[in-house]
Amino acid sequence: MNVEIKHVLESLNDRQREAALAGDGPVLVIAGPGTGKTKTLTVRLAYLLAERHVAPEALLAVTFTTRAALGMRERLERLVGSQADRVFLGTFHSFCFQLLRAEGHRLDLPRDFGVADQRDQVTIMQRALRRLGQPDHAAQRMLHDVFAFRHRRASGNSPVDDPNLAEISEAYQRDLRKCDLLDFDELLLLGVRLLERVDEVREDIRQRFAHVLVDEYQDVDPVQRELLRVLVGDRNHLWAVGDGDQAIYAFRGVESEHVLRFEHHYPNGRVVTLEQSYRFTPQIAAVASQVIRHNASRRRLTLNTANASGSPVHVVSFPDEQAEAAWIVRQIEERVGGTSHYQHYKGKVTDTVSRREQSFRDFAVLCRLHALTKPLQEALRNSGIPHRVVGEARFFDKKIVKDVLAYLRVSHNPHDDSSFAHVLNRPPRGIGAQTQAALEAEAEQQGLSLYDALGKSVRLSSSQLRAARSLVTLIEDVRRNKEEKPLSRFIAHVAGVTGLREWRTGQDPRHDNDLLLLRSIAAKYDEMNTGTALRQFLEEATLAVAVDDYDASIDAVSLMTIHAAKGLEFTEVMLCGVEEGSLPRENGDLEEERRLFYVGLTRAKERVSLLHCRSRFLFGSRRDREASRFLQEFDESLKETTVIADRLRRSKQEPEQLSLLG
Amino acid sequence: MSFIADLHIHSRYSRAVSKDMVPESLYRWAQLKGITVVGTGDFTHPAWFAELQEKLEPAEPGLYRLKPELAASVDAGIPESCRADVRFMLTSEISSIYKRHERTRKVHNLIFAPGFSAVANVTDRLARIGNLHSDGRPILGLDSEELLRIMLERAPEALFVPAHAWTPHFSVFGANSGFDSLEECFGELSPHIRVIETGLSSDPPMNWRLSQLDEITLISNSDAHSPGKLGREANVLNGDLSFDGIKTAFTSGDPALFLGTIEFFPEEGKYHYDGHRNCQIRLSPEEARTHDSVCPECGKPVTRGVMHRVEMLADHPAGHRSRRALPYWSLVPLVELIAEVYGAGVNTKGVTEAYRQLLATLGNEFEILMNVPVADIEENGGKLLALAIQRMRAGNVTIAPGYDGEYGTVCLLSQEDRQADSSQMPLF
Repeated sequence: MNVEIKHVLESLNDRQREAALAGDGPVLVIAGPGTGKTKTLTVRLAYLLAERHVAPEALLAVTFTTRAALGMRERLERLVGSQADRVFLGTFHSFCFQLLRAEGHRLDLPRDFGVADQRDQVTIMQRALRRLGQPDHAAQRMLHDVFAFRHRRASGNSPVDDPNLAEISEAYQRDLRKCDLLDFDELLLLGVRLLERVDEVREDIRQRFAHVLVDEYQDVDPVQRELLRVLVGDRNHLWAVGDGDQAIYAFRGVESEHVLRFEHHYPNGRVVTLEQSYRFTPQIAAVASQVIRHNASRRRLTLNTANASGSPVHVVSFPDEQAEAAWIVRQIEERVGGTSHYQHYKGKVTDTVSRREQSFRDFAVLCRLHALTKPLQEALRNSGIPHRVVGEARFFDKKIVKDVLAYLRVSHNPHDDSSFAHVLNRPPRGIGAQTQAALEAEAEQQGLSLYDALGKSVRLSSSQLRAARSLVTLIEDVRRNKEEKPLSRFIAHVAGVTGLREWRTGQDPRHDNDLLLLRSIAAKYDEMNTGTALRQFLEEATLAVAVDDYDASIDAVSLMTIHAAKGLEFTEVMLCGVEEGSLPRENGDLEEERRLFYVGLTRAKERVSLLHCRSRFLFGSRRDREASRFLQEFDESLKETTVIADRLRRSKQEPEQLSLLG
Repeated sequence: MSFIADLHIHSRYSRAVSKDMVPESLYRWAQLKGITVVGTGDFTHPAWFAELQEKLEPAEPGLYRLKPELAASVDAGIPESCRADVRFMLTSEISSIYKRHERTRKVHNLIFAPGFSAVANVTDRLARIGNLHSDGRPILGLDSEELLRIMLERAPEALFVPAHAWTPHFSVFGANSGFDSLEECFGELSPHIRVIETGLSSDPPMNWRLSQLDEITLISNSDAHSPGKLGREANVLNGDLSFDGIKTAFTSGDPALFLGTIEFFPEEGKYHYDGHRNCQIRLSPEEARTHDSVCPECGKPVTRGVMHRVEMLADHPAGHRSRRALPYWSLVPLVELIAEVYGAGVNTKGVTEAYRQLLATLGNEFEILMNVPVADIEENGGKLLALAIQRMRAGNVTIAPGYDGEYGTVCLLSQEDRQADSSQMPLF
């Protein structure tokens, strides 16, 4: 036996080993927080490769984020070496994307389709609405409705539908296709359709993938479940890992009972439960288990741990959100062992020598709602404590990055109207919104792409025509150049020759950093032929849904919503706004809210503070708040409670003390 | 011509810093002290940087001067005896707090930059990493090695200097959250570290005891948080009055260009000995060892001072003199000497007035402390002050060492001295 694998198998506990070495399937591994889910999945893959001698090409492992896929590939590489490269490890979307690229022509999809990002979708929806003579300001909401409509139709349970919606959906889809684009959502729907309708492809895929492994099974939505069903067929070679207690995506259409129905979907399915957590203290395990037990629809799972005993969960009550924010700042300063000489001198930091000091990255401040983070952001900013608000600025949404990507898309495919419209007047070249609208109308009339319409337009003034022609020349030039340079240099070339860099850095020099970062992301494709590199890079950029500019080398406190914290762990977690109305949220599904509380709590390794305010300013008004019922759902002996007195009372006392001195 | 440079100070935009730390005050106090080149501090702070750009103009290459119209109004209040040119160098301190090798590290580093555009290049990058607005000395979750890399990429001609290298809580060798070597802190970039700042609690001979510092130049600055503290440590230079001239003097350590450093008596520094300020327990390294570094009062570990820390890392014997050793002058600030002579507080009106009068007749503070003949001091400041300065120059000083954030206390005069000299004019 491969020594590495032998070693890692020995390091598994009995349940983990049972899961990793299970037969072909179907198998569902229920993995509580910190119970070694990723490790077990990786070992499973390594075991199939090294012991069962399954070819790497026959393994399909699906994760929910690109980052998770990358992490898993790294781990797998350490166990089985370069074989790992040949395993399909990716998201549902990237799987469907590749499938449709290869076989989509059977559904009459263009061979070289691109994927519309959020902004593309809005632009295209706006155009579709305008053409139908409808107001375009609600494009975003309309997109949402169209997606829902599509899903209803795909699942076949929507006999009565708004005819207007059907028309909009069709117009939007047509425009999308005219740009050779698919939207994100369609990737999955069309992937399923392809597998369902084309027997040859389905059989081929089933033949090819002897094992299908799925991470975060609780987050599988109905379309993804359908995809799995078609993929697996009656061969049952499905191995899924997840935790129903951590299903927090009901708002995305994920059914929380999904994990419960595994045996229903896969009648001869086997279930293995991982309950021993390696992440947190027995206190945290106990609180989490006691609270989640109040949910009725769940599988039995009681967390336990052999980790050393820690401190009780700290419940703190504050007069208001300012006091809560101030306490968090002080707590972090104290536990980092002071952030300045001044604090040491003023005795604000006590006994730093005997205690292990934390650094900023050890802390996460979590909130149920993003709106709750506002006073915290301000307090942290004023304190100078390095922090990042996770999930806010997505790197691929940054201005210059979007500009460059649009140029790259156009150079890849000049008929990509959405990207072309984006670059038309960036940097400004005298083609205003009106001209653009006229041009779009002209293209629409003649059934041309914007790019082609521009060449033939009769409506432009001579100066506009000159500007437009120069853009076409520019794009021609860029297209010619792309074969000659490695991708990262090509990006620099594009940013320079188009005048983008000069224009954007003139607005804000920080754009230059974004550009640099984009080039460094692209550099990993430099070895490839630029045409191929460009295509793969654009795919990555589009499919990386949530690549923020998270820079792991920066030590900072993380401030984020519970949703964004999923899958992460921190030495110390401060859960804010544990109040009726925000956790559980008003009108929220109580069991879903309790799962959110559970997920927040179980991000912590050593310490948890559960914070609530007796009064809070939120959404424009100040209201009295009650502590969350979840704080009553675990033993008193597991908590230590601190009540910070009202501001009002304290300020009344101060003058009295002063008068004593006088 | 030789000149004095004090390059690490803070502006009013840093925490716990006097509101008076503005370009005009720096200009004024540099003259009173006898400093030719003063650091601006805090160049990463957007408002301070804007103020500097508004109030300074280029002088010699890489150095700046206060705009003449602003200087004129300050000059009027400066005694003729002290008036001199003052140059500014763009400098800043960055507090890096981060994990390296599984431990939390807190290191302060200085960057000396040769111009506004170099500063802009560096701060543009740092602004992406952290918050530069809330403190003139920003806290960044950035590894010192990364900070150095950014500087080398963005402003390669600037100079990077680990600040007060020995203070326990915030320095490269600090006992609480520092490293045992420059390599451990700066990794492959450690060859770029040519210069370190010794800080108030250590003097050159202490640093000479580390072979890893054999090739490093030791510099000294005040880290002043109020104008009066300017120059309490500084560098005496003899090179070209320009950014490159100063940088070359520092990096080469050439005794012809870098004449030496002005030092505190290290015992006077806040972290010289081990101890507990709250328990008023002060321990020498030997005493601390006999107590297992535990406070005899409260039983908790004591804050380890610089002396002890140096001894832990030292691999040359005590008294070893570095091949690159430069001269140094251990001085006590003049107000402290006056205060001791008169037995009054340093911030009292009388002491301030005596200080002003001495400067007006004898010249700037460094002149008085280092060069003015004792006879002249005696004539203008009395016998006791002359005696105190004479003893200070000879290093004949009694000091209760500082510990755990408490400054040491210097004593130059005995009761007998005072009785012997009844001629001293009463201050009030």
